Amino acid sequence: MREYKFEKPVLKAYRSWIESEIRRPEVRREKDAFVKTYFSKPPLFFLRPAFLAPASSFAVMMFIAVLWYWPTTSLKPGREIQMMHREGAVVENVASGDSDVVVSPGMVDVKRVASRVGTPMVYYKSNHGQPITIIWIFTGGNTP
Amino acid sequence: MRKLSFFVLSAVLISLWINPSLQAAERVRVKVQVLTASNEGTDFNLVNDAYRDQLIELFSYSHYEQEEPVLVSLQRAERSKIDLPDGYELILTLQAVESNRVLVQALIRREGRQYVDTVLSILNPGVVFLGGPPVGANGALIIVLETGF
Amino acid sequence: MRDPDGSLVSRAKKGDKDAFGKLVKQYYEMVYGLALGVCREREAARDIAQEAFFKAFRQLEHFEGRSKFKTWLYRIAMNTAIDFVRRKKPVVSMDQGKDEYDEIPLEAGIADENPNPRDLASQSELRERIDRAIEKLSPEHRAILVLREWQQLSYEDIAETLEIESGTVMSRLFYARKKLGEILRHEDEGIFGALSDERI
Repeated sequence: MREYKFEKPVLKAYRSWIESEIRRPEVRREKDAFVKTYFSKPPLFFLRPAFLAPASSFAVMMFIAVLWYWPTTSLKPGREIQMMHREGAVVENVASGDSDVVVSPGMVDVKRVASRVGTPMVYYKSNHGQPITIIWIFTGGNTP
Repeated sequence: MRKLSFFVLSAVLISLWINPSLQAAERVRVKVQVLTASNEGTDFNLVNDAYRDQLIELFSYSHYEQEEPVLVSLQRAERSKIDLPDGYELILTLQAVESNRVLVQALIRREGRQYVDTVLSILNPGVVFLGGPPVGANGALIIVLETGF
Repeated sequence: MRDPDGSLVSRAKKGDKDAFGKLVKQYYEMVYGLALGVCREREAARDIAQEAFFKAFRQLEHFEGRSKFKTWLYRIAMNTAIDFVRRKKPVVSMDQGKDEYDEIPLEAGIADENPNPRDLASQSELRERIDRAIEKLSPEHRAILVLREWQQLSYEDIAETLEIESGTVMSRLFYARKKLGEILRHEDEGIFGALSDERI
């Protein structure tokens, strides 16, 4: 029954392999990220987006309504817009269509990007006035 | 008239406030468009020309092949897997839905190797391009994710 | 039967995500190890483990407490892992030394107080052979092996987890161990002399 003599070290090696794998720091990091993302306590009610968004919208509308009914406050929106067009600073540059201009990311906010096989780069471009976000992985040899 | 407009707007906002389902919706639809780009040939085999101008302006490839777009319904705490050309996989996971943005994790991998792992806060509606995983001799995969469907 | 996780499970069933998060923290490595024993790939094991916890969370309302939570979780993890392997095409055995991402010392799997170069080479060779042997097993056999040899479950618990008869557990376990043992028949016995106290 020679084969059964050697089962012991093989099964011991098998157990050791699994034990070493689960003790890897990456497994712990993945676990923590997983729990934090999906199974952590939600914020207090009044800090949640479901409350804050309409509440703040309502507050803004109330503010504008106040201004509407009392037009003697110092803010004069119409006059300021005319000033911007005269200076031609922000609006014209964004609409230039130059794809090398980096514009502020309004549409997409990249919270995290990683790659195990290459270098990730994030580009914010303008395409006919529309902001476009591109995430590109350079794996050596591929140029966009 | 002004008073009427004001009260109508207020009523709309209050109704949004008391209707949690609109703000707390945990299902989002994302359109996934798969393109394969290369410099072999000059064809634009696109199902529609919606991306043609953008692709020409943003990238320097001469040839594009487009797959049929896929509309994926993402639910919080569920992964959705989309098979891509050349053995790649796209895994999308909805992490959160905020008032006008969606937080999505997008992972592109092949044979256990992770090419892209990104978490994006995308305006709803919005669009983002993911690209770079090599295809063929000198081509690349480009994925277009669009929200707001 | 008293479930040590009863309190957390009750809270989680009422929608307490934080309570379920504590259960995840407690059992993540266990589920990951089970998944790895069946699928043999780290990335896949991670996906399977997380998918298993998602499933458990969604199905928690149907958990009636007739078995312990841990046993119920074993079942979900094993079913998820077996389904995953069945859906996938056959893969090349996990090649931990060559992938720059999966960069771990090949000798990390086997404890040895004073490894010498010959022992390290033997250990890494043994691990590769074990992996090749496991690759030849069906997902069901791999599941039984990991539950018995790593988690040390009884035949009855394995039978309950996999929803099969105890007799089937025993016969599959016998086959899986025999298959692993076969790797020794054509190998250099010196390798095992370095690891085992028993010598031919």
